[in-house]
Amino acid sequence: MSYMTTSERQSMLSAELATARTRGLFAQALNRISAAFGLSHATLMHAPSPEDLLLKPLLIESSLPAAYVREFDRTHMMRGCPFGLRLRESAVPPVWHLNDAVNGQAFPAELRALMLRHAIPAGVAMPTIAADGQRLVFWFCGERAALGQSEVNELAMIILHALDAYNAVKRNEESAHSALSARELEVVRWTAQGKTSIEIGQILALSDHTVNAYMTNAIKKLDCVNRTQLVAKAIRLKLIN
Amino acid sequence: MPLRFEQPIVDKIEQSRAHIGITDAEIVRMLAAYRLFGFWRIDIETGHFFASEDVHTIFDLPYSDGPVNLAELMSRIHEEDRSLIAETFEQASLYRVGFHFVYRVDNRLGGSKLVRSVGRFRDDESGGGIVGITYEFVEKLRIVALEDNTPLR
Repeated sequence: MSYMTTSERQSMLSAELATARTRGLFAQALNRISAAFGLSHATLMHAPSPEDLLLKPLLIESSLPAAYVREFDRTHMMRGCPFGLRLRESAVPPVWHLNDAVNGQAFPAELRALMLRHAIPAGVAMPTIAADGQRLVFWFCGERAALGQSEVNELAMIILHALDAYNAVKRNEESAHSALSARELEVVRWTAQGKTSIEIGQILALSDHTVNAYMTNAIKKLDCVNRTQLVAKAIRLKLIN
Repeated sequence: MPLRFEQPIVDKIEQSRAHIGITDAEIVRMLAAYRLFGFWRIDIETGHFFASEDVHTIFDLPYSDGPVNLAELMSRIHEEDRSLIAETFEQASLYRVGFHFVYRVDNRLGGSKLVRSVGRFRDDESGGGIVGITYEFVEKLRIVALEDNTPLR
């Protein structure tokens, strides 16, 4: 059996996060963090607000079983989640275990049963704020004893690296802005405003063939397959507003 | 597809109607009654969004039967919901699937109202795209209204 010291584990995970520059690699690194702490699932999500009733729309990356999320939302368990709203109000990470006499009892019976069915009685949630000001939560859960204070401290440090990695992934996605030329951006903007290629051609004094060529280039550059996806992605990435 | 966009299993029981004698048209009319309830279609290939009057009203946009200004429409959606809505459209057009979403829209009174959109992918002779409905989600509590032609007793 081989043992890894805390600092080795921290260095290894931080190094992996430092090179995770795509969504896929970032999700992979989150799962490795979870496994390194003896937990089975990792999630990055938006911190729930009082208006949020469902978990699914809040998820950014998650390895939670789809059946868990479905059941959670079907029975509106967000309302009964003891830590949900607190994650917006405090930066202190809540740690729980269903066997814990205090925090374990805070979970409603239905939610407890669901967590046990999916073998996730233990967990920790790390509230944080992304570079764009959004309140996010890194949430790890699985079947093990409750995390000790030293593990939470170590995890908090690793989460700082994870947050950096997430911000970098977002920046990479947003750098698509500079990938589009001024003309391509203009053509996408007019399309989002409901103009046809012919109308855009008239506005920009171009032929509709040239407009279509700009659109095709923009579709390729933003890794899209059609104009609807292109327009939606351009709005999401704030290339147009 | 990310987990949050996986389609839920809808375990709805097919409703028996023969013994009730209610028609599709009546159901649709009642669903749409007494609230803003609009229809729309996105043309996948052109990226254009066409919508009915109530959709324009919900988003406080001037009505036109031409393509809607999507950038302006999206600006009415709550900032925290906007990118997820845009991503939903991205995923729906990429994977050619339907979706539903409840989100916050500027109520032009300094706050937000809840709106639900349901979309369904369609690819047949009537045209490819995503067709959908959008309606204001939260009912005013304890409201009662009679149809204009309901006889008074």
